Amino acid sequence: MNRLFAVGGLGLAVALFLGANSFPDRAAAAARYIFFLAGILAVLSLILLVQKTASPDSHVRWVRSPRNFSIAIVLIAAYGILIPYLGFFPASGLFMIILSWGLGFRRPFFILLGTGLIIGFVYLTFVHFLGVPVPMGIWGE
Amino acid sequence: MTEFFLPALSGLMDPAVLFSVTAGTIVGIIVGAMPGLTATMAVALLIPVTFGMPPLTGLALMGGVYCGGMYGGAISSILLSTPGTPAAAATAFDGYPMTKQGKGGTAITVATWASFWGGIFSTVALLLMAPALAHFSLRFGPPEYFVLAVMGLSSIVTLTKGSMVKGLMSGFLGLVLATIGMDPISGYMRFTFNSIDLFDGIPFMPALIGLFSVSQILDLTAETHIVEDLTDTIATIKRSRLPKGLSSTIAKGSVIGTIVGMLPGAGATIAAFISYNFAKQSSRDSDTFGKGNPKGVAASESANNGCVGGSLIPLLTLGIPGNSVAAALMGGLLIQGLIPGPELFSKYGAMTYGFIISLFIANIIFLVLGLYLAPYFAKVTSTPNALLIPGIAILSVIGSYAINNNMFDVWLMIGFGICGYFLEKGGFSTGALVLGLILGPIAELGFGQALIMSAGSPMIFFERPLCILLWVITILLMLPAFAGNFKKAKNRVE
Repeated sequence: MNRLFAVGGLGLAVALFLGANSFPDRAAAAARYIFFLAGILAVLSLILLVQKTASPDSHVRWVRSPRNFSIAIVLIAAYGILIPYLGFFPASGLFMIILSWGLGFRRPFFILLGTGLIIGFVYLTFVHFLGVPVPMGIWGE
Repeated sequence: MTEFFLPALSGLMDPAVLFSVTAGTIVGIIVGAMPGLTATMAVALLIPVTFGMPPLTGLALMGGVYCGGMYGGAISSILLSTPGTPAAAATAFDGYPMTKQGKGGTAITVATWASFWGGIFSTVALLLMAPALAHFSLRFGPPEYFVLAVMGLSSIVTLTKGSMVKGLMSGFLGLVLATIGMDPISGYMRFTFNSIDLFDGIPFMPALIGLFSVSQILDLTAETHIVEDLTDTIATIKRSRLPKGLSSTIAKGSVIGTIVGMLPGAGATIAAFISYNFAKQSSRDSDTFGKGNPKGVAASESANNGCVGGSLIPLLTLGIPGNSVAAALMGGLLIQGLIPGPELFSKYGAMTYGFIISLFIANIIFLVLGLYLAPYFAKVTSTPNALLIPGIAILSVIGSYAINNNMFDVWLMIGFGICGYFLEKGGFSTGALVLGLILGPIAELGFGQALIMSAGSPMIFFERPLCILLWVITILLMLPAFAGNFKKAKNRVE
């Protein structure tokens, strides 16, 4: 896996080099700084690529619970998509109930209680006391 | 100065002032503990409220928010690995592992005492040495800022647990990400892909929440509880003792926080990282840092609270705010018709010293609240992960959104969270990445401005006395880490 990261680092370094190459003359100093960073990143990536000693993380389990991990990722993404449509509070309520259930929690009273507490707390601190606007979705103007 | 003390103390005895400093501290702790809500935001929102108040009452309220806000960031950082403020990011390195070992209450107690002493030390410095220290802070020019940033970046070596190459790569990745947006010297837009949301660069708070909080909740999906041992009750947590041997770490952190806090633009986050680095490199048990060493919590928290008094030194004496909260506080001073400068310490001496002394009271209030409530805060970690994960996700989303009222920041936070998870699993350091992201703009601006000052000669970084001093400290900080790595490599070869 180290090789994959090293190749990614090298790719980024090349992209940075090409990007900075197209900077206009007035940004020459900025381009030099990027060249410097790209150079160091390339060197470090090359070292990682050729390194033979096994790193302590070589036997790591990338995802310890694939089912729960996938559910969390999918639902977080769905939550982000739904917020502009449903509004922050309905989307958050739905998200909390479905994710808690999806992660195997089977006590509906506590799910509803937790959802109410979180949403109430966010409403009081962010909206009521500090006047921070939240996305209202279809309920807003 | 002494002639103002009695009038200042009598002003503070007013119940309205005492109430406002207490209320301000409590609001500050809540605001600080919530990712996305900043002490700057709270102080700025309070300015119109304080307009109708007597000056000391209004300033005591804002001072309380500042002190409480700086401390409050540690609570969520320790218990949920979700730093409420960027300054509490370094607190999570050892605070969260302590929580996972069932020592969350002890970690909060350590953070409370360290924050208290950091705050008290910096307020004493503000009270006794403000004018002299303000002139010292003006000796920091662009070259010194660049070397200070390099000194902060040297913490990458400290933050790296496994492969040094990966640690350095993480730090440089942070520096690369920090170049997104407008070039500070020429104004040229770099790597923004014509997205207006990236013109100001990568917003720091969503990145921080993603890397620390979202990556953590993804990891928690494999466990049922943060803490494995759920037998701890409030009483057993209350009985846990404060670890010994923290005093020198707290003292060093307080001094570092006060000095860095005085430097406009440097800020509490850098102070916390530098202090953490100092603590680790000067410790005999440096191997336990990052695994739940209370000294890591103490170093970070004493330094970030040390910045409170430090940042007020140039503000009150010269009218130069040390950070964004101090800038908002300056608005509070101006709205009361108080112009920062020598007059604050002469004509308005009673009010100014009253305000400074109110900071002591704010520190005492969060100390009492923190110590009393630490066991109750710690019980949050006994909540099942199935409830905690969506709860933290909701707070992370609103926290990222609230900074710029922008869904782009939410997606950025999610992206950083997923990348951070895999980088951390791959042995890279998200702490080093964050450090690069914070220090990149300061380093780049200092570097560019210094080279303009010297007509392109890099010798400017090695000729000025303060630069030389900072280089020496930086090298001394890095030596033990490299020596340790060299030893390990040698042992492996043998």
